[in-house]
Amino acid sequence: MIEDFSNTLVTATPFLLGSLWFTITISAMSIVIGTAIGLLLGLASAYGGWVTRFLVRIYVDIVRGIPGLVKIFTVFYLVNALLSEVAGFTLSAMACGVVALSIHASAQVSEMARGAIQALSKGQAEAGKAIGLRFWQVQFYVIYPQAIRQILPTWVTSSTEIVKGTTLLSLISVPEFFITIRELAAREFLYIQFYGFAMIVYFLLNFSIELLGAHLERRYSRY
Amino acid sequence: MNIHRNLGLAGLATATLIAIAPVMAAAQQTESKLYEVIERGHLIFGTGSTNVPWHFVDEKNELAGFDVDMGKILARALFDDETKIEYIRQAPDARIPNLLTNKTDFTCQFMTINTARAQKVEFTLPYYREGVAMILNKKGPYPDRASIDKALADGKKIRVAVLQNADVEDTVHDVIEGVEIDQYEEQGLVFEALDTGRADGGIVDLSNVLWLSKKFPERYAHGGDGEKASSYGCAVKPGDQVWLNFINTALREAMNGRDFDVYAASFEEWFGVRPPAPKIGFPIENR
Amino acid sequence: MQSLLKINGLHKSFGNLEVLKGIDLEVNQGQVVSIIGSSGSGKTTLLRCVNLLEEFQAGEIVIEGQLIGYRDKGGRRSSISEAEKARQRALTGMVFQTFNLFPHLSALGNVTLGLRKVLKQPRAEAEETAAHWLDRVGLSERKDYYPSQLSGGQQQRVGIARALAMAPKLMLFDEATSALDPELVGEVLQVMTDLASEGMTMLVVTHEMSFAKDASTRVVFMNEGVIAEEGPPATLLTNPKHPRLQDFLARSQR
Repeated sequence: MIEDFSNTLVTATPFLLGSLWFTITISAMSIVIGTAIGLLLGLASAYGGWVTRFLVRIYVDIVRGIPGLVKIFTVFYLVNALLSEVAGFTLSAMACGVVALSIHASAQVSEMARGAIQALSKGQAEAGKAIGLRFWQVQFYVIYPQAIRQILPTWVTSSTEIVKGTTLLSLISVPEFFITIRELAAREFLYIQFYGFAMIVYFLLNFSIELLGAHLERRYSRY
Repeated sequence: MNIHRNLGLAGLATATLIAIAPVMAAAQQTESKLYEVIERGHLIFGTGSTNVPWHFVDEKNELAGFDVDMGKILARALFDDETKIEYIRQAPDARIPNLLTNKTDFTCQFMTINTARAQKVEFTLPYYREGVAMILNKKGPYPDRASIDKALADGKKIRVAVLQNADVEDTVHDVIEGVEIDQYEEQGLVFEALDTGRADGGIVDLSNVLWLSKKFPERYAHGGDGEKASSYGCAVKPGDQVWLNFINTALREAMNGRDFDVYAASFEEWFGVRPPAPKIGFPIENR
Repeated sequence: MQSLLKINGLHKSFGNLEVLKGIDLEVNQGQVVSIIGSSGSGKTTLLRCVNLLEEFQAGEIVIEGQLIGYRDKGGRRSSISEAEKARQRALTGMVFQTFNLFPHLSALGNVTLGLRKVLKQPRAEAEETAAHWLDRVGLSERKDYYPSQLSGGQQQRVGIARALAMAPKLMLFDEATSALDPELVGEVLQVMTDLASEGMTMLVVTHEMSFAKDASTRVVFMNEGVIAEEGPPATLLTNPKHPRLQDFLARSQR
């Protein structure tokens, strides 16, 4: 059985690497898009009027209240059905996955960003203004670098959550890593071996993200 | 994100979406899917990728299996080219929603024909008649049916694994009486329970048992069949008679007509036996 | 002498609390005006209004003939754009009581940020300018240090360099030494005194009577939102007329 497993692993390596790359791409895209949107939402809820704050609050609460799988199904079926009615096109399964995971990440990042911005002293923004920086310049050059340093540890954790979340995308036919594992396990009837292998790969993937996070933290903790 | 493979939840979400999707799609389809597919130049075919011998990924990372061959038969009927297929690899609970939301043109994924499903989708002719059977672990304490029957007669407890289902008790008792039943969420887990000795036998589809005992004669044994049968059919989105008729024509001719050799070769490859050839003369479907 | 800053009838309230109740003040080119008064007298608020960190409800502030913070539209005041406010803020340099250095940037980075993003200087030029001003406050050795690696006095000198680098017409000091350990006050006061003697126009809110006395052209005493008394330091500090000023001076000498 061990021999069966290692033989299968060798012959399937190109496909496994291909789908692992897919998992990494989807995760990276979702994390980047979700973080960008989340930072904007965090900004909106830290500085906005009550209407803005209220709307962001609702968005965050709804998104956080819906399980990941339901978000993915909602985008894949419901949003796509609406799109095809209204705009006459639909999103690919991969795009749906990225949208759903980005939405998930944006809500997490939004809350972190709001907290971090509100925790910064008012004096920081004032000092930025006093040298003539405009609002957005104050945000980008003064507030965000400090806020990002603060949210880094939590952000790393939620990034690993996104990587884990990609496994759910197999249910909407996205050819990510875990579906390839399931396909191989099903073909060779080597369930324990392949699921164990997947466990190690996902662990290594997330462990590298944590290492990267620790590295960034060290880099930005000079002050 | 909650990463538990909560299939019950998936089912709930699917059910909600199924309820909404037809309403949204109702306005479409004044013309037949048949012409749309021909115009497009390829078939969008929904099937799974994790169940041998129905639909799985082979060593070349290509889909293979009996379901997949049904798709190829249709592609050949449409384009005279079995490679003109875009596969959508889907989980079993995505079969119906993907049809209803036009993500697939048609699906063949060991779907049992029942009337509840027939209210959501339209089934094609059945292309296989499935039964249930028991699979045994040749390396375990009960390598054949005789040893199981003896153990039961001696008053020992026998535990069988089965895929979670509505009428599990009936299914199991169709094959063997007097055993304890463990239900699992995925077919793979049933085999895993058998391999690890947590179960003494597994109750699965007959086709599975035939294929496995053929592929791994040293690992698995066929431990008896049930009597009940269920039909597997392909399915399409309802309301398109032209499309359904075309698919039925292609399947019928594969099973009973000119293309029998293709169907029979596939059948033999996956189930180990050749189906009975159609008789010349009076058409079998009129009997 | 040319008038640089002119404040007329400035009123400022926080909700129902009126903090500034009609301030008139004029500062000429090259003058150093110290504002003294007990806490709550409105002196910091006055400074923040000049730097547009606070909005005000009535009156006008004019710097070099230019109306600040609002536009006069046929007798009615209307707000100006965020961009315009940012430009006007750069006319004045602000030094904060709590320094407010950017902790994620080095001393050099603190000074170059405004040069690069507001004045759009190329990096090399900005660093040269910044190095000049850090040298000017005696910190050329420390330009690559982060704020957390600097003493309070050094941090405040970076704060001064940061403001000076933007070439402001007017420097505003908001109790620049009150958050410092007593032994560090001297180095900051020295920089301020040097600046004053070089002809920089300065408006200084301070508790340091020695600075008010020795370095300013004029001293303003604020009390309960109004200017209660003003005059040359020698007169005002040695011969106060207003009873509250007499009290204040007596207390601050103890």
